[in-house]
This record gives sequence, C-alpha cells and structure tokens, in this order.
Amino acid sequence: MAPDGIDGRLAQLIERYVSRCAPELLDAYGLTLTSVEAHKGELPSYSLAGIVGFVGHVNGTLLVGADPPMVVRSHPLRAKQPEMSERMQLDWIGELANQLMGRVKGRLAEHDVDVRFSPPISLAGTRMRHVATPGRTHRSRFASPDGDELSVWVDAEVRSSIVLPDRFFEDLPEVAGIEGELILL
Amino acid sequence: MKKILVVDDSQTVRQLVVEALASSPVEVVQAEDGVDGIEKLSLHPDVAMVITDVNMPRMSGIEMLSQIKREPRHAALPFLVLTTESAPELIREAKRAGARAWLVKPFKAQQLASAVATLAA
Repeated sequence: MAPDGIDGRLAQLIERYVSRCAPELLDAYGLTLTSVEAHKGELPSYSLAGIVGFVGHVNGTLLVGADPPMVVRSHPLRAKQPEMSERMQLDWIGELANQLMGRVKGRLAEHDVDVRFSPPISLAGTRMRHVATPGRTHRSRFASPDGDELSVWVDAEVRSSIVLPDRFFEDLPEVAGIEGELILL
Repeated sequence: MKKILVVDDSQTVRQLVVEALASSPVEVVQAEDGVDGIEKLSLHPDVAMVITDVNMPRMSGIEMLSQIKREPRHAALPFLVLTTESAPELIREAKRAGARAWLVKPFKAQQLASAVATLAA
C-alpha cells in the first residue's frame, strides 16, 4: 500500500499494531477484546489511565484508559484478590500500558523503527478525557464481552530532522512476537 | 532455602513471580527498581539468583546488572531478565553484562519456576 506521506504512514502503522497488540495482550490475561469503531470527535471518559512516553525515530505518548471493572477483570491476581485496591488497579493499568508499548515497539522494530520508552505512570480520576491533537492522536477502542471498554490513545510524531529507515514504508508479513518465550543466553 | 531477588517496579508483577515460585523451595526478596535491588542485595548477600525487569525508574535492570556484576563476589550470580522488551540489541547488551536468560512478559508460572530451578541450582 502506498504511504500517504510520513504522517499517514505513521497513522497506518500505529492503527495496525495497536489493533493487533491490545487484544493479544488482554487475551494473555484471559480477557477477550474486540475492536469497536472509534467515532471521530467523541470524548469518552475513563477513571484509570496508564501512560508511557517514547522517543526515537518516533516521539510521543501511549495512554491506556479504562474504568475499574475492565482493569479488575484483566488483572492476573483477580481470583486471589477479588477486592482489589485502587493502588493495585493503578499498578496494573500502568503495567498494561508498559506491556502494550513493549509489544508495539517490537512490531515497529520489524520496520527498523527504534524507540525507547519510559517506565509507566498511572492516574486515577473522575471522568478523565483525552483531547486529541488533529493529525497526531490515534485512538483505538476495544470492548469486552461484558461491555466494558478500553481505549488506547497514541500521540505520535516524526520530527522533520529524523531520517526514517526504508522499511518504515514497507508492508511486512505479520510476525509473531517473542512474548512468553524463554531465551537462554 | 535459596533466596531469589525479584526487581520490578510493578507490584503486580512481583506478586505474580511470588505466586509462580510458591511451590519452589525458595524465599523471594522484592525490590522496586535497580537502586532498591542493589540495596536489597547488600542486605541479602546470600541471594542465589536475580529476576529483573529492564525499564524501571531511577535505575534500569541492565544498569543494575552491570553494577552488581562488577563486584567479584557476585560475578557468578545468575540473572534472568523478565521484561516487555524484545529488542535484539538490548538482549545482546544484557548477555554482555552477564545475564543468563531473557523472558518477555507475559510469562507462564511453570516456565518461570523451571527457569529458576535450572539457573539457581
């Protein structure tokens, strides 16, 4: 597919890899997610957020937003700790953002795109909303069978001084990640 | 009983490691970043193995690994890196610093317990 400029191509890659990686990640924790159309202009609210910043060929921020029921249902210790503290929910949504960023980074690395990312921070609030920057913010929206929603916002840009690798523009066959694989060194 | 030091800024991940090793004959010591990991190791010099995340506040897991390995008494201490990162250059960097294994999250409990049984033996 021909790239529609660097911004268009970046949007394509983010949409492709977030839409694959978020359901794969939640599936690993026992929760099935399906993509839901994200309507332009809507500002859904959430009360928990995990945020990771990244720099490199592409600079930006990845934010995972959800409400407590979604976070608790995906928590790997939910069976042992049904009354989960807000602290643990915050810890988990931060870790989800961290693990999702790791997966997306791995897929972008197939295109020779290199990014480094920060440890996550987590936020709790009431009716928090993310204001998109046109042309820079990409939102993916997912729902569980119970109707709980999880949204992923990626604000990303390529600075004009950055020379992107040729493979940034190549459509590559889907490659399985190495998540869960033990590598002896 | 052997001591295993687990270094991760996520309390959930540390608890998952504790759960995964619950049936193993080990005692788990926890630290929340690389600086804390070095401090905990000085308090527990008999640690038999370290499981560490990479991307943490204050000090990364690979920086912690490099610092610990500079001490002759810890030169043979096995490290398993448990992380979201899968970049080949980072894995090579960890290997050069002395890591013995690399596992990308999410992990299976049995897999981690087997790796600990092998590396901490």
